[in-house]
Amino acid sequence: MMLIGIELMLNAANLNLVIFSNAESIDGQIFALFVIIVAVCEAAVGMAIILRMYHHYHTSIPDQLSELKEKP
Amino acid sequence: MTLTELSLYIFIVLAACSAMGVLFVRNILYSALFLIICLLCLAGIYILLQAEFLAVTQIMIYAGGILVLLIFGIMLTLKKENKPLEVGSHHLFSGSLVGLGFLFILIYSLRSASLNIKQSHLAQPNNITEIGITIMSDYVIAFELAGILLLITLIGATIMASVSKQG
Repeated sequence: MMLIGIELMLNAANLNLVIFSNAESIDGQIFALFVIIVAVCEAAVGMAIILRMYHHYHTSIPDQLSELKEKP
Repeated sequence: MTLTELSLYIFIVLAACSAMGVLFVRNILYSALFLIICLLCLAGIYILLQAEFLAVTQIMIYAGGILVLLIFGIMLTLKKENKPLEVGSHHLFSGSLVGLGFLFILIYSLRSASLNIKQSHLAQPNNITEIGITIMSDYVIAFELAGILLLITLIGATIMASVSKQG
């Protein structure tokens, strides 16, 4: 769920970059390309972390991982 | 209103509606499917803004790669007493407060910015050649760094996702 939100926000940023650089140059498009590359890396590493987390704790919800939380 | 503007507005409305659907639907698999619709609409907007290469990259990488990876991960971690994983929207008040503040910042900077949209790239049919030349001349260091980042990510994700025998 967090990964989906991150992808949505990165897409919004990309759209802003493309629109506001459309007037003069294509620098915004190239910057958006690099944003897409970094988003791919983030998605791959995040999915690997989630798979390991599911392997350990048998849950994929981050709110349930409260091992380090101070018990009341 | 020309056909281009009409389709641009249709794509914008559809993208906004599917983004709201991503946020407010309960089943996480449906929200991933809404995200596909949103990304395809954004690709359509890129095409209408004369950014064809970015649109094709968006369709291939996002809709073809990242979404398949997301749905793959969702389906691998979904099994929990055979009922679909339900997610809700927490922190609704503070989140909407931050969102509204960001919207006001954006509107303020938009009003102060001098916006002269001229159709400079409309003359040439595509700018893929220009993008390629610019990447390999001005942005070559960033390009190589992106390659190194992809390699590191590949190795790291493979090591983390593979089940190791030692521990």
